[in-house]
Amino acid sequence: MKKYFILLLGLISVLALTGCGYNTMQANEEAVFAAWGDVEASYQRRLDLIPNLVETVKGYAKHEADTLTAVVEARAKAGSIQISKDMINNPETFGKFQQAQGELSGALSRLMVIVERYPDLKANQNFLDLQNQLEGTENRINVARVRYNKSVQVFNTSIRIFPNSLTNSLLLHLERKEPFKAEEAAKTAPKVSFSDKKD
Amino acid sequence: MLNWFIALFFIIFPCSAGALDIPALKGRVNDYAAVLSPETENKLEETLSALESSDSTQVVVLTIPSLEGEVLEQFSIKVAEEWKIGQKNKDNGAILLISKNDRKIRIEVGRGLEGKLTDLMSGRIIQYEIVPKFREGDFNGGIEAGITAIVSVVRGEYKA
Repeated sequence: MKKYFILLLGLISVLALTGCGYNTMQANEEAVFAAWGDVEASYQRRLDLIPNLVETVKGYAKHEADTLTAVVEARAKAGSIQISKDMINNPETFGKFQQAQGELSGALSRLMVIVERYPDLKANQNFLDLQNQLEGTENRINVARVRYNKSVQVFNTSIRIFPNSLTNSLLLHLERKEPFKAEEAAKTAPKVSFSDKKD
Repeated sequence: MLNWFIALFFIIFPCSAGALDIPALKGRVNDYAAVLSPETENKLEETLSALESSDSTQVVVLTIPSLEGEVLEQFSIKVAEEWKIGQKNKDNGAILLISKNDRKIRIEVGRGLEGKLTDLMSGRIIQYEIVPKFREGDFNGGIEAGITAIVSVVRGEYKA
């Protein structure tokens, strides 16, 4: 008799748990992790491309030392931040990560603007290849970020709505995930000036 | 009260945020910009269906008159997500997108094909196969050369 009672209790609790989002929330969290994996991979790919790019540009545009140094420094800074899965729970490290990557984006886009002044460089096969790869990577980063943000939104909503919120606070203790915010660098896009004046 | 009016407003005029609708998928060649001759179109259809039967890779062409202010990459990924080109689970599809008036070309590649048709290869195909022909105003030749190159990359034969 007691056996049946335990069995029944087990059955009820399983049903109750599926009804209150126990599984959904965990599935959503896994989706966030998967999307974050893509974000990480595409940012890493960009970091890997930069040394080659800098070397190639250096060969043609020695006078642009400042811009090149800025890229190298921004890369070093972005590379020094340890990327991990826990980062997305933590607004502070996530903010730092986003800022460093944003600065790198800014430095890179400034570099791509000055490249326009060097026709020889622009005709260099190696440079063209790197440019193709870099453009592709930037695009991947964007796509990965958008998909990540979508999955974060689904997850964050799922842990806030009732009765999931109750299950979460009692059993799962899953934390809210950080979405990407609009890029700082995007607001300060490099200015293209048609006059000779340097700004 | 005001809230009700606002709600009513949204019911009557649903958000039309997406400026440019995703065109319908008509076949392997979707020439909305009307730049291709019927002969080229037939030839492309044949080449691409032969590719699918031999390699299971699906490649489609889309030409549009204009992006109407949308960002090329964002539009092409939307098209890719809507059309679902490539075999399910393999994601081995690609879309050659041409926006005529913006003079923009993009090859959107599915995950399963990225290994062969890399960003690098796509960039080279655009720069060396398609753009030179387009400069001469030869859309038929450019798209044909682009597709030929994509097909040979997929089969592992392209050298640039």
